[in-house]
Amino acid sequence: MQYSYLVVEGPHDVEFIGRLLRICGLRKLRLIKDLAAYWRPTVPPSFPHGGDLLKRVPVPVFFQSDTHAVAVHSAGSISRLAPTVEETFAILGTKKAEISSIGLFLDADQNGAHNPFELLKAKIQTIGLAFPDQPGEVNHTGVRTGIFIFPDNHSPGTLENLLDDCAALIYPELREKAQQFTAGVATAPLMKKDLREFVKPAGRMKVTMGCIANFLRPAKAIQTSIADNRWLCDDSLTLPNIARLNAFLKDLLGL
Amino acid sequence: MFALDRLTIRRFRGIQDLTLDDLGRVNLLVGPNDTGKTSILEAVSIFCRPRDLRGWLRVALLREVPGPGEPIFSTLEWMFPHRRPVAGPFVEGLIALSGVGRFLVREAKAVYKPTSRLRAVAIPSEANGADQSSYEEGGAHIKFTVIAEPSPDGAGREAYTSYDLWEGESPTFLDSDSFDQNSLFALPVHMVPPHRAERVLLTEFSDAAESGLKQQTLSLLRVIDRQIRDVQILAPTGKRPGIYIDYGSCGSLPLSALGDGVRRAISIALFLPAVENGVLLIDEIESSLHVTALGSLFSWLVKSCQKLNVQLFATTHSLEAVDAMVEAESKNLDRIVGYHLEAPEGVPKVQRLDGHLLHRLRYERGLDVRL
Repeated sequence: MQYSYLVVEGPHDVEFIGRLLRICGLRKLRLIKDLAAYWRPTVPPSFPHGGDLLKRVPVPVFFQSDTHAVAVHSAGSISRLAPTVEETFAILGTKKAEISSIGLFLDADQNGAHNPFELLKAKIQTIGLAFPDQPGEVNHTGVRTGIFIFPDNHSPGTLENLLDDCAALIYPELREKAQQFTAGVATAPLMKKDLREFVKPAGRMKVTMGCIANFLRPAKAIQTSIADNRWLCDDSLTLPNIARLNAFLKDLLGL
Repeated sequence: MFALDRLTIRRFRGIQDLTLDDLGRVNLLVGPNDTGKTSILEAVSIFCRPRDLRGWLRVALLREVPGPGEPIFSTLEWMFPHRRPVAGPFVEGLIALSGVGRFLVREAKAVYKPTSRLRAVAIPSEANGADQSSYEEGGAHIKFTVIAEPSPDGAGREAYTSYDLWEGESPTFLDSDSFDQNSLFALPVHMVPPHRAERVLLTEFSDAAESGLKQQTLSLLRVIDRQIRDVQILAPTGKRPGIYIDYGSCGSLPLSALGDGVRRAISIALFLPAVENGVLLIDEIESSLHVTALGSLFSWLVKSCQKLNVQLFATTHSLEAVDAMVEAESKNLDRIVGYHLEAPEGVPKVQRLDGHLLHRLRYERGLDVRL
């Protein structure tokens, strides 16, 4: 069995990567009895930890096949990516030596992929892991390691740019209408705190993708639509940015 | 610098080679059963008093009691690793401990070799008054070697002590066994065992009172049981002096009449002054204590260790105990170090978890650090 650990920023990244894994033949695990013993220490034994009833249980989402057991973990923020790996390694103890691959996925910033990559690489190296010199590459010496910066390891953007690529191909009319809606809303009557997320660099794109997802899965989070709908399918896998991510993932995990 | 900043244990009980790096003020040992947690406490105790045969025997007797007819020193034999499965008689064992820290002992070695001799006995005889006969008497030769940091002028500082122990004789302890506060080769150390409530000695209580720790001790005991009003030495008519607890409406009760939790807490509290500038070892720190008392107890314990410059080593099987200790020191996480023990294929291995990582593992991730 090959054990792989993928750490992402948020829950919608988990579902996007998870959907690609399912297309590759892995199944998403629901029951703890099906979980490989290897990953058992990463499951918190009780809730709520720290007494916080509102906090999401920090447990990875597990995908498994006869040959691969992959844990996809939402760190919650860029700053928590490296600490999350450090914590998981600590809890795995001597079993960490059995891990096959480690992948980190995060968004670019307004200037592109360079700064987020260098910052993360510096942090992750302090816990004794060797990563490639460029994002999107896979280190094949020892444990396979790699960092992928959304959308394409180079340009500014986020995971939503990949969703937009998929929507343009799979849901073109929905995308057009959602873009029109987003562009047509008069923001002047809205309060500052209403627009806090919208005015961020990726805000408009995220609103547009949210509109499409909500049409497809009303009253559900965007990750539900990513998991259930056709954002990622055989056709969208041919898109250059999706094909790049898929190839990186297959290379990293040895699929 | 702590009394011990690093300790390496080689060939002690089930431990082949294990190093505790970057030790802290409070060192928590966690992990499944049979991974060497208690053995580490024993090794620390021995390293602090490396040529103190009494100390070796005290540590050995915490774990096992000699069988009927077996000499007391036979308990030492099992500190020295045996090949598994045991293919024949135990021939010779060597324990090697080494450390770095304020305590200047750098290496402590012990060699244990079973031996025997013919012992003559006189058998009463009608003809000659007495006949000589003999039997084979079992024994052991044990040799301690201690090497300390060279003196400032570069001179080596070493000490050797050896004993020949025999079944029919009580050990004759050498002067070097007497604890000397100023000895280069000894550090104050005490080990609090789990489960069994320890007999609290009058001298420890007197020392605590003299050190001004009686009020602290009382405060701690009230955390455990609010009805405790005072602790004092009384000598009721016809009885020997003993420690008595002024207990709510019951009046004065002998310490032995109270529960294990109180007795354990008082044991910890009273032995702290005795190990000032040294090391306190507590096996299964949560033992006999209710979960609601852990936070206050640990908070008190860590503050007292800080005040008396005591380095604490504790084992635990309890997540509540880990949480209580981390919570008690949440503003001083640099003082706490966790050591996670596991024994893949029967060989104990250790992983260091600094206080900040330990806090994140419990309070950010909610993970079970004992697995």
